[in-house]
Amino acid sequence: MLKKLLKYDFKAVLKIWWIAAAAVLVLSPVAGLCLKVTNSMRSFPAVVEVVAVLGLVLGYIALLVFVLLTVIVLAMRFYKNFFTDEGYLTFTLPVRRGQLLNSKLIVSLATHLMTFFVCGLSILLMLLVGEEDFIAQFREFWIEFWEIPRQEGFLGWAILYVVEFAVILLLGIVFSELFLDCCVTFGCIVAKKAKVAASIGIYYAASNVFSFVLTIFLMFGISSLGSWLSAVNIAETAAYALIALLFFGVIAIMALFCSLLYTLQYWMLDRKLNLP
Amino acid sequence: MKKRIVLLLLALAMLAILSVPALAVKDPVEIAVSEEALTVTLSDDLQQAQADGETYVRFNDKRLSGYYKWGDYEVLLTEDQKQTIESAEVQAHNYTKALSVTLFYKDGAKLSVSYIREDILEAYQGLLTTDDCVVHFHYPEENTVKLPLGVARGEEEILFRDDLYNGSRFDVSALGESGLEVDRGSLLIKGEEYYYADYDELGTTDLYSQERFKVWHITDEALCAELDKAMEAYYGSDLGWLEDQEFSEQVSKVFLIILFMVIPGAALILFFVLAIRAKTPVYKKLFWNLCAWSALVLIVAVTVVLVVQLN
Repeated sequence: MLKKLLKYDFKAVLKIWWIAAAAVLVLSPVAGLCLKVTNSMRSFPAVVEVVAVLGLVLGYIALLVFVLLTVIVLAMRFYKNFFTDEGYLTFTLPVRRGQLLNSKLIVSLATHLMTFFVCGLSILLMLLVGEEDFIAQFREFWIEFWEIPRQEGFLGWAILYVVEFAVILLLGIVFSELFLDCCVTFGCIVAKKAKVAASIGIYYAASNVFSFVLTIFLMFGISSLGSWLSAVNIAETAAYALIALLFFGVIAIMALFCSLLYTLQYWMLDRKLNLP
Repeated sequence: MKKRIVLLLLALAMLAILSVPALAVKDPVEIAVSEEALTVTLSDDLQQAQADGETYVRFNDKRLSGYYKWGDYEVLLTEDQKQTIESAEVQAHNYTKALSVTLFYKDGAKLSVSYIREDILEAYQGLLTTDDCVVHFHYPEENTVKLPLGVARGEEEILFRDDLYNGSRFDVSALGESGLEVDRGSLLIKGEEYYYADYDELGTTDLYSQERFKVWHITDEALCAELDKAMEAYYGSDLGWLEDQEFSEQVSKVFLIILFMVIPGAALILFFVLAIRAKTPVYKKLFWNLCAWSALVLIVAVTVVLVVQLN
Protein backbone atom coordinates (compact mmCIF):
# COMPACT_ATOMS: atom_id res chain seq x y z
CA MET A 1 0.00 0.00 0.00
CA LEU A 2 2.91 2.31 0.71
CA LYS A 3 3.90 1.96 -2.95
CA LYS A 4 0.50 3.29 -4.03
CA LEU A 5 0.70 6.18 -1.59
CA LEU A 6 4.16 7.02 -2.89
CA LYS A 7 2.92 6.87 -6.47
CA TYR A 8 0.12 9.38 -5.88
CA ASP A 9 2.23 11.67 -3.71
CA PHE A 10 5.00 11.74 -6.31
CA LYS A 11 2.47 12.37 -9.06
CA ALA A 12 0.93 15.31 -7.17
CA VAL A 13 4.28 16.92 -6.40
CA LEU A 14 6.13 16.30 -9.65
CA LYS A 15 3.40 17.64 -11.95
CA ILE A 16 4.44 21.16 -10.90
CA TRP A 17 8.02 20.50 -9.88
CA TRP A 18 9.25 19.30 -13.27
CA ILE A 19 8.22 22.55 -14.99
CA ALA A 20 10.28 24.59 -12.54
CA ALA A 21 13.20 22.15 -12.88
CA ALA A 22 13.08 22.39 -16.68
CA ALA A 23 12.91 26.20 -16.54
CA VAL A 24 15.94 26.35 -14.23
CA LEU A 25 17.94 24.00 -16.44
CA VAL A 26 17.03 26.00 -19.53
CA LEU A 27 17.94 29.29 -17.87
CA SER A 28 21.30 28.13 -16.55
CA PRO A 29 23.22 28.20 -19.88
CA VAL A 30 21.68 31.63 -20.49
CA ALA A 31 22.92 32.82 -17.12
CA GLY A 32 26.27 31.25 -18.05
CA LEU A 33 26.43 33.36 -21.22
CA CYS A 34 25.58 36.45 -19.17
CA LEU A 35 28.32 35.52 -16.71
CA LYS A 36 30.70 35.27 -19.64
CA VAL A 37 29.78 38.78 -20.71
CA THR A 38 30.17 40.27 -17.23
CA ASN A 39 33.50 38.43 -16.75
CA SER A 40 34.84 39.48 -20.08
CA MET A 41 37.59 42.08 -20.44
CA ARG A 42 36.11 43.20 -23.69
CA SER A 43 33.97 46.31 -23.71
CA PHE A 44 30.31 46.06 -24.62
CA PRO A 45 27.61 48.66 -25.16
CA ALA A 46 26.03 49.68 -21.84
CA VAL A 47 22.68 48.12 -22.80
CA VAL A 48 24.30 44.76 -23.42
CA GLU A 49 26.08 44.86 -20.05
CA VAL A 50 22.87 45.81 -18.24
CA VAL A 51 20.97 42.97 -19.94
CA ALA A 52 23.80 40.58 -19.05
CA VAL A 53 23.71 41.56 -15.38
CA LEU A 54 19.92 41.27 -15.37
CA GLY A 55 20.17 37.85 -16.98
CA LEU A 56 22.64 36.76 -14.31
CA VAL A 57 20.37 38.03 -11.55
CA LEU A 58 17.45 36.23 -13.20
CA GLY A 59 19.47 33.01 -13.16
CA TYR A 60 20.15 33.33 -9.43
CA ILE A 61 16.54 34.28 -8.67
CA ALA A 62 15.32 31.29 -10.70
CA LEU A 63 17.39 28.99 -8.50
CA LEU A 64 16.02 30.58 -5.33
CA VAL A 65 12.45 30.43 -6.58
CA PHE A 66 12.92 26.80 -7.58
CA VAL A 67 14.09 25.83 -4.06
CA LEU A 68 11.25 27.85 -2.50
CA LEU A 69 8.71 26.36 -4.89
CA THR A 70 9.79 22.84 -3.91
CA VAL A 71 9.14 23.62 -0.25
CA ILE A 72 5.77 25.23 -1.01
CA VAL A 73 4.61 22.40 -3.31
CA LEU A 74 5.48 19.80 -0.68
CA ALA A 75 3.78 21.76 2.10
CA MET A 76 0.66 22.30 -0.05
CA ARG A 77 0.49 18.60 -0.88
CA PHE A 78 0.76 17.78 2.82
CA TYR A 79 -1.94 20.32 3.74
CA LYS A 80 -4.39 19.43 0.96
CA ASN A 81 -4.00 15.70 1.39
CA PHE A 82 -4.51 15.76 5.16
CA PHE A 83 -6.48 18.84 6.19
CA THR A 84 -8.94 19.75 3.42
CA ASP A 85 -11.91 17.72 2.18
CA GLU A 86 -9.41 15.36 0.60
CA GLY A 87 -8.40 14.47 4.17
CA TYR A 88 -11.63 12.51 4.69
CA LEU A 89 -10.65 10.24 1.84
CA THR A 90 -6.99 10.03 2.91
CA PHE A 91 -7.78 8.98 6.45
CA THR A 92 -10.35 6.39 5.37
CA LEU A 93 -7.85 4.60 3.17
CA PRO A 94 -6.94 1.15 4.46
CA VAL A 95 -3.47 2.26 5.56
CA ARG A 96 -1.87 3.04 8.89
CA ARG A 97 -1.14 6.63 9.95
CA GLY A 98 2.55 5.74 9.93
CA GLN A 99 2.40 4.73 6.26
CA LEU A 100 0.74 8.04 5.36
CA LEU A 101 3.48 9.94 7.18
CA ASN A 102 6.27 7.76 5.76
CA SER A 103 5.00 8.31 2.25
CA LYS A 104 5.03 12.09 2.70
CA LEU A 105 8.49 11.96 4.25
CA ILE A 106 10.00 9.75 1.54
CA VAL A 107 8.54 11.91 -1.22
CA SER A 108 9.80 15.09 0.49
CA LEU A 109 13.30 13.69 0.92
CA ALA A 110 13.43 12.44 -2.67
CA THR A 111 12.10 15.75 -4.06
CA HIS A 112 14.58 17.77 -2.01
CA LEU A 113 17.43 15.57 -3.22
CA MET A 114 16.26 15.96 -6.81
CA THR A 115 16.06 19.73 -6.29
CA PHE A 116 19.59 19.66 -4.88
CA PHE A 117 20.74 17.68 -7.91
CA VAL A 118 19.02 20.00 -10.41
CA CYS A 119 20.46 23.09 -8.66
CA GLY A 120 23.93 21.54 -8.73
CA LEU A 121 23.55 20.65 -12.40
CA SER A 122 22.27 24.13 -13.17
CA ILE A 123 25.22 25.83 -11.43
CA LEU A 124 27.58 23.42 -13.20
CA LEU A 125 26.07 24.29 -16.58
CA MET A 126 26.25 27.99 -15.80
CA LEU A 127 29.93 27.78 -14.84
CA LEU A 128 30.80 25.53 -17.78
CA VAL A 129 29.41 28.13 -20.16
CA GLY A 130 30.42 31.25 -18.22
CA GLU A 131 33.83 30.49 -16.74
CA GLU A 132 36.84 29.82 -18.91
CA ASP A 133 38.90 26.82 -17.84
CA PHE A 134 36.23 25.84 -15.34
CA ILE A 135 36.97 22.13 -15.73
CA ALA A 136 40.70 22.72 -15.18
CA GLN A 137 39.98 24.91 -12.14
CA PHE A 138 37.58 22.37 -10.72
CA ARG A 139 40.07 19.55 -11.27
CA GLU A 140 42.74 21.62 -9.50
CA PHE A 141 40.37 22.31 -6.59
CA TRP A 142 39.42 18.65 -6.37
CA ILE A 143 43.06 17.52 -6.32
CA GLU A 144 43.96 20.16 -3.71
CA PHE A 145 40.91 19.23 -1.62
CA TRP A 146 42.18 15.67 -1.19
CA GLU A 147 45.88 16.56 -1.30
CA ILE A 148 46.08 17.86 2.28
CA PRO A 149 44.50 14.76 3.88
CA ARG A 150 46.68 12.57 1.66
CA GLN A 151 49.87 14.43 2.61
CA GLU A 152 48.97 14.53 6.30
CA GLY A 153 48.01 10.85 6.25
CA PHE A 154 44.36 11.10 7.24
CA LEU A 155 42.73 10.37 3.91
CA GLY A 156 40.63 7.54 5.39
CA TRP A 157 39.37 9.83 8.13
CA ALA A 158 38.61 12.58 5.59
CA ILE A 159 36.44 10.16 3.58
CA LEU A 160 34.63 9.20 6.79
CA TYR A 161 34.06 12.91 7.60
CA VAL A 162 32.60 13.50 4.12
CA VAL A 163 30.24 10.52 4.56
CA GLU A 164 29.21 11.77 8.02
CA PHE A 165 28.69 15.24 6.62
CA ALA A 166 26.44 13.82 3.87
CA VAL A 167 24.37 11.98 6.50
CA ILE A 168 24.09 15.23 8.50
CA LEU A 169 22.83 17.01 5.37
CA LEU A 170 20.24 14.29 4.74
CA LEU A 171 19.06 14.46 8.34
CA GLY A 172 18.95 18.26 8.01
CA ILE A 173 16.54 17.89 5.08
CA VAL A 174 14.40 15.38 7.02
CA PHE A 175 14.41 17.64 10.08
CA SER A 176 13.37 20.76 8.16
CA GLU A 177 10.58 18.86 6.40
CA LEU A 178 9.28 17.35 9.65
CA PHE A 179 9.52 20.76 11.31
CA LEU A 180 7.44 22.37 8.56
CA ASP A 181 4.89 19.52 8.55
CA CYS A 182 4.58 19.68 12.34
CA CYS A 183 3.86 23.43 12.16
CA VAL A 184 1.25 22.86 9.43
CA THR A 185 -0.37 20.08 11.45
CA PHE A 186 -0.38 22.16 14.63
CA GLY A 187 -1.76 25.20 12.77
CA CYS A 188 -4.57 23.13 11.24
CA ILE A 189 -5.47 21.57 14.58
CA VAL A 190 -5.59 24.77 16.66
CA ALA A 191 -7.22 27.09 14.08
CA LYS A 192 -10.90 26.81 13.29
CA LYS A 193 -10.65 29.14 10.30
CA ALA A 194 -7.78 30.45 8.13
CA LYS A 195 -5.78 27.30 8.73
CA VAL A 196 -3.14 28.12 6.13
CA ALA A 197 -2.49 31.54 7.67
CA ALA A 198 -2.26 29.96 11.14
CA SER A 199 0.19 27.34 9.86
CA ILE A 200 2.37 29.98 8.21
CA GLY A 201 2.30 32.10 11.39
CA ILE A 202 3.24 29.14 13.59
CA TYR A 203 6.02 28.10 11.21
CA TYR A 204 7.37 31.66 11.10
CA ALA A 205 7.36 31.98 14.89
CA ALA A 206 8.78 28.51 15.54
CA SER A 207 11.51 28.82 12.92
CA ASN A 208 12.51 32.22 14.34
CA VAL A 209 12.84 30.78 17.84
CA PHE A 210 14.78 27.80 16.46
CA SER A 211 17.09 30.08 14.41
CA PHE A 212 17.70 32.27 17.45
CA VAL A 213 18.74 29.32 19.60
CA LEU A 214 20.84 27.87 16.79
CA THR A 215 22.57 31.21 16.13
CA ILE A 216 23.45 31.61 19.79
CA PHE A 217 24.80 28.09 19.86
CA LEU A 218 26.83 28.58 16.69
CA MET A 219 28.13 31.94 17.91
CA PHE A 220 29.49 30.43 21.10
CA GLY A 221 29.73 26.80 20.21
CA ILE A 222 31.59 26.18 17.00
CA SER A 223 34.63 28.46 17.32
CA SER A 224 35.15 27.55 20.95
CA LEU A 225 34.69 23.89 20.19
CA GLY A 226 37.36 24.23 17.50
CA SER A 227 39.85 25.89 19.82
CA TRP A 228 38.99 23.47 22.61
CA LEU A 229 39.63 20.52 20.30
CA SER A 230 42.91 22.05 19.10
CA ALA A 231 44.03 22.61 22.67
CA VAL A 232 43.23 19.02 23.76
CA ASN A 233 46.60 17.34 23.93
CA ILE A 234 45.95 13.88 22.53
CA ALA A 235 47.59 11.60 19.98
CA GLU A 236 46.93 12.38 16.32
CA THR A 237 44.87 9.24 15.60
CA ALA A 238 42.82 9.79 18.75
CA ALA A 239 42.14 13.37 17.63
CA TYR A 240 40.87 12.18 14.22
CA ALA A 241 38.69 9.59 15.96
CA LEU A 242 37.41 12.25 18.35
CA ILE A 243 36.31 14.48 15.46
CA ALA A 244 34.58 11.51 13.78
CA LEU A 245 32.90 10.73 17.09
CA LEU A 246 31.71 14.32 17.44
CA PHE A 247 30.21 14.22 13.95
CA PHE A 248 28.54 10.95 14.93
CA GLY A 249 27.18 12.68 18.04
CA VAL A 250 25.69 15.38 15.81
CA ILE A 251 24.11 12.65 13.63
CA ALA A 252 22.66 10.95 16.72
CA ILE A 253 21.23 14.17 18.17
CA MET A 254 19.72 15.13 14.82
CA ALA A 255 18.17 11.67 14.54
CA LEU A 256 16.78 12.11 18.05
CA PHE A 257 15.18 15.45 17.13
CA CYS A 258 13.79 13.98 13.88
CA SER A 259 12.27 11.07 15.82
CA LEU A 260 10.84 13.50 18.33
CA LEU A 261 9.15 15.54 15.59
CA TYR A 262 7.91 12.38 13.87
CA THR A 263 6.37 11.09 17.10
CA LEU A 264 4.81 14.46 17.84
CA GLN A 265 3.32 14.65 14.38
CA TYR A 266 2.02 11.08 14.57
CA TRP A 267 0.40 11.84 17.92
CA MET A 268 -1.22 15.04 16.60
CA LEU A 269 -2.62 13.26 13.53
CA ASP A 270 -3.73 10.26 15.55
CA ARG A 271 -5.27 11.92 18.59
CA LYS A 272 -5.91 15.58 17.86
CA LEU A 273 -7.08 15.66 14.27
CA ASN A 274 -10.55 17.13 13.83
CA LEU A 275 -11.38 17.65 10.17
CA PRO A 276 -14.02 20.32 9.35
CA MET B 1 -0.68 20.45 -20.66
CA LYS B 2 -1.15 23.63 -22.67
CA LYS B 3 0.01 25.70 -19.71
CA ARG B 4 3.20 23.68 -19.43
CA ILE B 5 3.94 24.10 -23.13
CA VAL B 6 3.40 27.86 -22.84
CA LEU B 7 5.74 27.99 -19.83
CA LEU B 8 8.42 26.05 -21.70
CA LEU B 9 8.05 28.32 -24.74
CA LEU B 10 8.44 31.36 -22.49
CA ALA B 11 11.62 29.91 -21.00
CA LEU B 12 12.99 29.25 -24.51
CA ALA B 13 12.10 32.80 -25.59
CA MET B 14 14.01 34.10 -22.57
CA LEU B 15 16.97 31.96 -23.63
CA ALA B 16 16.93 33.50 -27.11
CA ILE B 17 16.65 37.09 -25.83
CA LEU B 18 19.42 36.72 -23.29
CA SER B 19 21.76 34.98 -25.73
CA VAL B 20 22.05 38.14 -27.84
CA PRO B 21 24.46 40.08 -25.58
CA ALA B 22 26.88 37.18 -25.41
CA LEU B 23 27.22 37.15 -29.17
CA ALA B 24 28.02 40.87 -29.47
CA VAL B 25 31.75 40.57 -28.68
CA LYS B 26 34.32 43.23 -29.52
CA ASP B 27 38.12 43.09 -29.65
CA PRO B 28 40.07 43.99 -26.52
CA VAL B 29 41.33 47.55 -26.57
CA GLU B 30 43.45 48.04 -23.48
CA ILE B 31 45.69 46.39 -20.96
CA ALA B 32 43.55 45.38 -18.09
CA VAL B 33 43.94 43.38 -14.94
CA SER B 34 41.11 40.92 -14.75
CA GLU B 35 39.36 40.72 -11.41
CA GLU B 36 36.16 38.94 -12.32
CA ALA B 37 33.65 41.72 -12.96
CA LEU B 38 36.05 44.46 -11.89
CA THR B 39 38.54 45.99 -14.32
CA VAL B 40 41.44 48.23 -13.36
CA THR B 41 42.99 49.97 -16.32
CA LEU B 42 46.75 50.25 -16.27
CA SER B 43 47.56 51.72 -19.66
CA ASP B 44 47.73 55.44 -18.73
CA ASP B 45 49.80 54.86 -15.65
CA LEU B 46 52.16 52.63 -17.58
CA GLN B 47 52.79 55.27 -20.20
CA GLN B 48 53.39 57.89 -17.50
CA ALA B 49 55.73 55.59 -15.63
CA GLN B 50 57.68 54.84 -18.80
CA ALA B 51 57.96 58.54 -19.57
CA ASP B 52 59.26 59.26 -16.08
CA GLY B 53 61.75 56.39 -16.30
CA GLU B 54 60.59 54.96 -12.98
CA THR B 55 60.97 51.34 -12.06
CA TYR B 56 57.55 51.20 -10.48
CA VAL B 57 54.62 53.41 -9.70
CA ARG B 58 52.38 53.30 -6.67
CA PHE B 59 48.87 53.74 -7.66
CA ASN B 60 45.94 53.99 -5.28
CA ASP B 61 42.68 52.61 -6.40
CA LYS B 62 39.76 52.40 -4.02
CA ARG B 63 38.09 49.91 -6.31
CA LEU B 64 40.47 47.26 -5.09
CA SER B 65 39.14 47.43 -1.57
CA GLY B 66 36.81 44.68 -0.56
CA TYR B 67 37.70 42.50 -3.50
CA TYR B 68 38.45 38.94 -2.57
CA LYS B 69 39.39 36.05 -4.74
CA TRP B 70 41.47 32.94 -4.30
CA GLY B 71 42.83 32.79 -7.78
CA ASP B 72 45.23 34.23 -10.32
CA TYR B 73 45.02 37.62 -11.93
CA GLU B 74 45.45 37.80 -15.64
CA VAL B 75 46.83 40.49 -17.94
CA LEU B 76 45.36 40.86 -21.39
CA LEU B 77 47.51 42.55 -24.04
CA THR B 78 46.22 44.05 -27.25
CA GLU B 79 47.79 43.22 -30.59
CA ASP B 80 49.51 46.66 -30.58
CA GLN B 81 50.92 46.11 -27.14
CA LYS B 82 52.15 42.68 -28.09
CA GLN B 83 54.44 44.43 -30.62
CA THR B 84 56.54 45.82 -27.76
CA ILE B 85 55.70 43.67 -24.74
CA GLU B 86 56.98 40.11 -24.57
CA SER B 87 55.00 38.98 -21.56
CA ALA B 88 53.32 40.16 -18.40
CA GLU B 89 53.32 38.58 -15.00
CA VAL B 90 50.94 39.35 -12.17
CA GLN B 91 51.98 38.83 -8.59
CA ALA B 92 49.52 39.47 -5.80
CA HIS B 93 50.77 39.58 -2.26
CA ASN B 94 47.42 40.23 -0.73
CA TYR B 95 44.36 40.02 -2.90
CA THR B 96 42.38 42.53 -0.91
CA LYS B 97 45.09 45.11 -0.40
CA ALA B 98 47.75 45.10 -3.03
CA LEU B 99 48.76 43.76 -6.39
CA SER B 100 51.80 43.99 -8.63
CA VAL B 101 52.17 43.59 -12.39
CA THR B 102 55.51 43.17 -14.15
CA LEU B 103 55.79 43.78 -17.88
CA PHE B 104 58.71 42.31 -19.83
CA TYR B 105 59.48 44.33 -23.00
CA LYS B 106 60.99 42.84 -26.10
CA ASP B 107 63.96 45.24 -25.90
CA GLY B 108 64.85 43.78 -22.49
CA ALA B 109 63.27 46.54 -20.39
CA LYS B 110 61.21 45.54 -17.40
CA LEU B 111 58.47 47.54 -15.75
CA SER B 112 56.64 46.81 -12.52
CA VAL B 113 53.39 48.47 -11.60
CA SER B 114 52.14 48.10 -8.07
CA TYR B 115 48.80 48.85 -6.55
CA ILE B 116 48.21 49.37 -2.90
CA ARG B 117 45.05 50.48 -1.21
CA GLU B 118 45.14 54.10 -0.09
CA ASP B 119 44.32 53.42 3.58
CA ILE B 120 47.01 50.74 3.75
CA LEU B 121 49.54 53.10 2.20
CA GLU B 122 48.58 55.78 4.75
CA ALA B 123 49.33 53.35 7.58
CA TYR B 124 52.96 53.31 6.42
CA GLN B 125 53.32 57.08 6.20
CA GLY B 126 56.18 58.32 8.35
CA LEU B 127 57.91 54.96 8.57
CA LEU B 128 61.41 55.33 7.19
CA THR B 129 62.95 51.89 6.92
CA THR B 130 61.70 48.50 5.80
CA ASP B 131 62.36 47.36 9.38
CA ASP B 132 59.47 49.55 10.50
CA CYS B 133 56.30 47.53 10.43
CA VAL B 134 52.59 47.92 10.85
CA VAL B 135 50.22 45.68 12.83
CA HIS B 136 46.93 45.04 11.13
CA PHE B 137 44.00 44.56 13.45
CA HIS B 138 41.53 43.23 10.96
CA TYR B 139 37.86 42.34 11.49
CA PRO B 140 35.49 43.65 12.64
CA GLU B 141 37.11 46.92 11.55
CA GLU B 142 40.48 47.58 10.08
CA ASN B 143 42.81 49.34 12.44
CA THR B 144 46.58 49.69 12.26
CA VAL B 145 49.43 50.55 14.63
CA LYS B 146 52.99 51.36 13.60
CA LEU B 147 55.40 48.83 15.09
CA PRO B 148 59.10 49.74 14.71
CA LEU B 149 60.85 46.38 15.14
CA GLY B 150 63.83 47.95 16.91
CA VAL B 151 61.48 49.02 19.70
CA ALA B 152 59.34 45.86 19.58
CA ARG B 153 62.34 43.62 20.30
CA GLY B 154 62.27 43.80 24.10
CA GLU B 155 63.09 40.70 26.12
CA GLU B 156 63.60 37.30 24.57
CA GLU B 157 61.12 34.64 25.76
CA ILE B 158 59.69 31.28 24.72
CA LEU B 159 55.99 30.76 23.98
CA PHE B 160 54.15 27.50 23.33
CA ARG B 161 51.55 26.46 20.77
CA ASP B 162 48.83 26.49 23.43
CA ASP B 163 49.55 30.19 23.97
CA LEU B 164 48.45 30.78 20.38
CA TYR B 165 45.13 29.06 20.98
CA ASN B 166 44.54 30.89 24.24
CA GLY B 167 45.56 34.32 22.95
CA SER B 168 45.24 36.47 19.84
CA ARG B 169 47.48 36.81 16.81
CA PHE B 170 47.72 39.67 14.30
CA ASP B 171 49.83 40.12 11.17
CA VAL B 172 52.86 42.41 11.28
CA SER B 173 53.80 43.64 7.81
CA ALA B 174 56.34 45.92 6.17
CA LEU B 175 56.18 47.73 2.87
CA GLY B 176 58.57 45.92 0.55
CA GLU B 177 60.63 47.50 -2.21
CA SER B 178 58.17 46.49 -4.90
CA GLY B 179 55.50 48.50 -3.14
CA LEU B 180 53.72 45.44 -1.83
CA GLU B 181 53.27 44.45 1.77
CA VAL B 182 55.43 41.66 3.12
CA ASP B 183 54.55 39.76 6.28
CA ARG B 184 57.45 40.02 8.70
CA GLY B 185 55.98 38.41 11.77
CA SER B 186 53.08 38.21 14.19
CA LEU B 187 51.96 40.24 17.15
CA LEU B 188 50.84 37.83 19.85
CA ILE B 189 48.69 38.82 22.78
CA LYS B 190 48.69 36.66 25.89
CA GLY B 191 46.69 38.08 28.77
CA GLU B 192 47.67 41.73 28.81
CA GLU B 193 51.18 41.19 27.45
CA TYR B 194 52.33 41.78 23.87
CA TYR B 195 54.91 39.65 22.06
CA TYR B 196 56.50 39.87 18.63
CA ALA B 197 57.40 36.69 16.71
CA ASP B 198 59.75 37.28 13.77
CA TYR B 199 59.31 34.94 10.78
CA ASP B 200 62.92 35.35 9.61
CA GLU B 201 64.25 34.40 13.02
CA LEU B 202 61.91 31.43 13.31
CA GLY B 203 62.39 30.29 9.71
CA THR B 204 58.66 29.80 9.20
CA THR B 205 55.49 31.80 8.78
CA ASP B 206 53.33 29.08 10.32
CA LEU B 207 53.59 29.51 14.08
CA TYR B 208 51.00 26.81 14.65
CA SER B 209 53.41 24.22 13.27
CA GLN B 210 55.89 24.94 16.12
CA GLU B 211 55.54 23.27 19.50
CA ARG B 212 57.53 26.13 21.10
CA PHE B 213 59.06 29.21 19.55
CA LYS B 214 61.13 32.26 20.40
CA VAL B 215 59.39 35.63 20.74
CA TRP B 216 60.25 39.16 21.79
CA HIS B 217 58.32 40.44 24.80
CA ILE B 218 57.36 44.05 24.00
CA THR B 219 58.33 46.11 27.03
CA ASP B 220 58.42 49.63 25.61
CA GLU B 221 55.75 51.52 27.59
CA ALA B 222 54.83 54.00 24.85
CA LEU B 223 54.39 51.23 22.28
CA CYS B 224 52.37 49.09 24.74
CA ALA B 225 50.11 52.08 25.48
CA GLU B 226 49.55 52.59 21.78
CA LEU B 227 48.74 48.90 21.31
CA ASP B 228 46.37 49.04 24.31
CA LYS B 229 44.58 51.97 22.70
CA ALA B 230 44.27 50.18 19.38
CA MET B 231 43.00 47.02 21.07
CA GLU B 232 40.38 49.03 22.95
CA ALA B 233 39.22 50.53 19.67
CA TYR B 234 39.29 47.05 18.12
CA TYR B 235 37.13 45.46 20.81
CA GLY B 236 35.08 48.63 21.30
CA SER B 237 33.82 48.35 17.74
CA ASP B 238 32.22 45.02 18.53
CA LEU B 239 30.64 43.31 21.53
CA GLY B 240 33.97 43.01 23.35
CA TRP B 241 32.88 40.36 25.83
CA LEU B 242 31.77 38.15 22.99
CA GLU B 243 35.32 38.13 21.75
CA ASP B 244 36.56 36.97 25.14
CA GLN B 245 37.74 33.44 24.38
CA GLU B 246 37.50 32.19 27.97
CA PHE B 247 33.93 33.42 28.45
CA SER B 248 32.94 32.07 25.06
CA GLU B 249 34.42 28.65 25.91
CA GLN B 250 32.49 28.48 29.17
CA VAL B 251 29.20 29.34 27.48
CA SER B 252 30.03 26.87 24.75
CA LYS B 253 30.59 24.10 27.29
CA VAL B 254 27.23 24.86 28.96
CA PHE B 255 25.50 24.68 25.57
CA LEU B 256 27.23 21.43 24.68
CA ILE B 257 26.31 19.91 28.05
CA ILE B 258 22.66 20.95 27.61
CA LEU B 259 22.51 19.68 24.02
CA PHE B 260 24.38 16.41 24.41
CA MET B 261 23.65 15.47 28.01
CA VAL B 262 20.71 17.29 29.62
CA ILE B 263 18.27 17.05 26.69
CA PRO B 264 19.03 13.39 25.80
CA GLY B 265 19.09 12.46 29.51
CA ALA B 266 15.69 14.04 30.13
CA ALA B 267 14.35 12.52 26.89
CA LEU B 268 15.60 9.07 27.91
CA ILE B 269 13.82 9.19 31.27
CA LEU B 270 10.61 10.68 29.87
CA PHE B 271 10.28 8.32 26.91
CA PHE B 272 11.32 5.30 28.96
CA VAL B 273 8.37 5.96 31.28
CA LEU B 274 6.05 6.64 28.32
CA ALA B 275 7.21 3.49 26.51
CA ILE B 276 6.45 1.35 29.55
CA ARG B 277 3.05 2.97 30.09
CA ALA B 278 2.02 3.04 26.39
CA LYS B 279 -0.83 0.70 25.61
CA THR B 280 -0.77 0.61 21.82
CA PRO B 281 2.12 -1.14 19.99
CA VAL B 282 2.66 1.84 17.66
CA TYR B 283 3.31 4.26 20.52
CA LYS B 284 5.45 1.70 22.32
CA LYS B 285 7.56 1.41 19.16
CA LEU B 286 7.82 5.19 18.73
CA PHE B 287 8.81 5.80 22.37
CA TRP B 288 11.37 2.96 22.43
CA ASN B 289 12.82 4.43 19.26
CA LEU B 290 13.22 7.80 21.02
CA CYS B 291 14.77 6.04 24.03
CA ALA B 292 17.30 4.35 21.76
CA TRP B 293 18.37 7.62 20.10
CA SER B 294 18.61 9.44 23.46
CA ALA B 295 20.76 6.63 24.84
CA LEU B 296 22.99 6.69 21.77
CA VAL B 297 23.57 10.45 22.14
CA LEU B 298 24.42 9.97 25.82
CA ILE B 299 26.83 7.13 25.00
CA VAL B 300 28.62 9.25 22.37
CA ALA B 301 28.82 12.23 24.77
CA VAL B 302 30.23 10.09 27.58
CA THR B 303 32.72 8.47 25.18
CA VAL B 304 33.96 11.90 24.03
CA VAL B 305 34.43 13.03 27.63
CA LEU B 306 36.24 9.79 28.48
CA VAL B 307 38.54 10.03 25.42
CA VAL B 308 39.50 13.59 26.36
CA GLN B 309 39.94 12.84 30.08
CA LEU B 310 41.91 9.62 29.58
CA ASN B 311 44.32 11.35 27.19
